[in-house]
Amino acid sequence: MKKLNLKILLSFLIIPLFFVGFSTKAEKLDDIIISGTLKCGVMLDFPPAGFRDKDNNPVGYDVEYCKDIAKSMGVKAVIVETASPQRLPALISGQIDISIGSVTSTIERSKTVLFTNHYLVYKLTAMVKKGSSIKVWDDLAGKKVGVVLGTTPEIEYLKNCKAWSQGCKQVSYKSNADQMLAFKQGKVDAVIDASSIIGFMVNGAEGKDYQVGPVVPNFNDWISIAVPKGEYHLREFLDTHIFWTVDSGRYAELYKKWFGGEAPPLVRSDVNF
Amino acid sequence: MNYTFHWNTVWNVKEALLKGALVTLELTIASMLLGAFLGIFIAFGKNSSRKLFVNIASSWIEVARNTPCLFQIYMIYFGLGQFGINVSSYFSVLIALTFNNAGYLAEIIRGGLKSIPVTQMTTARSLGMKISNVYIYVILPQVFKIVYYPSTNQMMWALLNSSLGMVVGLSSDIAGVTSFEQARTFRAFEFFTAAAILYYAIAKLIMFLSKTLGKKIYGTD
Repeated sequence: MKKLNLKILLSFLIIPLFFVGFSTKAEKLDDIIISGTLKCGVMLDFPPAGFRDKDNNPVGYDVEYCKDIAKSMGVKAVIVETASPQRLPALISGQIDISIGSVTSTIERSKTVLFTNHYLVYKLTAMVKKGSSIKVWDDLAGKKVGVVLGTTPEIEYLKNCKAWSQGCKQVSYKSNADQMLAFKQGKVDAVIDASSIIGFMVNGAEGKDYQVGPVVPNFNDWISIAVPKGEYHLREFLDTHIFWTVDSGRYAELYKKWFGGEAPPLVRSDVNF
Repeated sequence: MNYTFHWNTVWNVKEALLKGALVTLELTIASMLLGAFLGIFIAFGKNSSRKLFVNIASSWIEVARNTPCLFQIYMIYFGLGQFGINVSSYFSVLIALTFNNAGYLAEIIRGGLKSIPVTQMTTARSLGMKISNVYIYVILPQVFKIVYYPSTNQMMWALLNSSLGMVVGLSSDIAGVTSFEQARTFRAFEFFTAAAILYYAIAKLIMFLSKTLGKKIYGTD
């Protein structure tokens, strides 16, 4: 019996070993400037914020935003691909310095990372097949809806569907790529995601059978850059960068280039920050 | 280490995690029972004298054992979807795990059948028993004893493979629930650890039950 206990004890001792070695010596901002490279985690399956062009180079709004920050710092930008569920582990383990991965600054996540001021805001919207009977938000009741696991669209859908008598009928995929494939194959009647990626799909190669569906009601998807816990100086720097990006007109320029149309204001008039 | 563990974040969603554990257990047990049932037929098919049966059984075993389970799950969900056949996430995983288990179990059962001396069949036949009765009363009871512990091993694989359901949108099992909570709260290491502990506990539970049950049925081994 003693032997068995020791074995179990040892297996539990091994688990924390995986987490040893994540440490920051100096301030992150100093580290970045001294090392000369800024490692940005970007989602590259989330066009037009992050994707790959035909030569396989990362491009998009988030990618260009990272390059702008690197320029402000006087360092070289390195784009590291992080799919939605990898964004935080990559940040904690130091594989990336900051996450510019269209991260919604939710209250829950705010307990774990530092968020900058908002550098972007999305609306969440559904996409349906042409001629679909889904016209307004409540038409989605009882329909199968494809979302990406753990993302803000999924969380918002789960909040809304509780009011429907048919209950929640979401299917949660591991990535945007799988979500779109399932939609194409007719496994789900609609998908919900940021209006940017939906717009990109509808205007894309396979978009002729698709159309933009109803918008998720009463919700703005406020997007921030995520910074490791405790790196206040780095966050202050990024906030300053975001302010001047907006003030100089660069924000409007970037927004027009990647999303089209007029850039939405990045602050609410009834909140003092 | 610049990370403080918030274990109460995990504790707050314990019901969801336990529900996830039930779904995982359910998938494992169901796919094992169905897999064992099919595995017996495949084992006999491979030993059969009819070429058609041998071919079907051989190809099943070849594909099930020599391709990753991830691929099998993906093919049943998205592969069949390409032909307009849409199977739900849960059933895709169940079918793929059953397919995988049946292939492995067939080989385990075939090994068990081989270890029974041919003389038993001839002796029983000479006593006037029908072939089907020889199998049911003489050979299979011995085979089950031989394959019992190797099958437990396969059950562990089924348990661990069920976590792959995440790639086809299965979000109600342990891997799915912890992944969702991880992305919602950003407490990655707490939820990964919770998932590891749950899988570990279920694996231990299966081992314990199989040992106890094995002792009860077959005596000390």
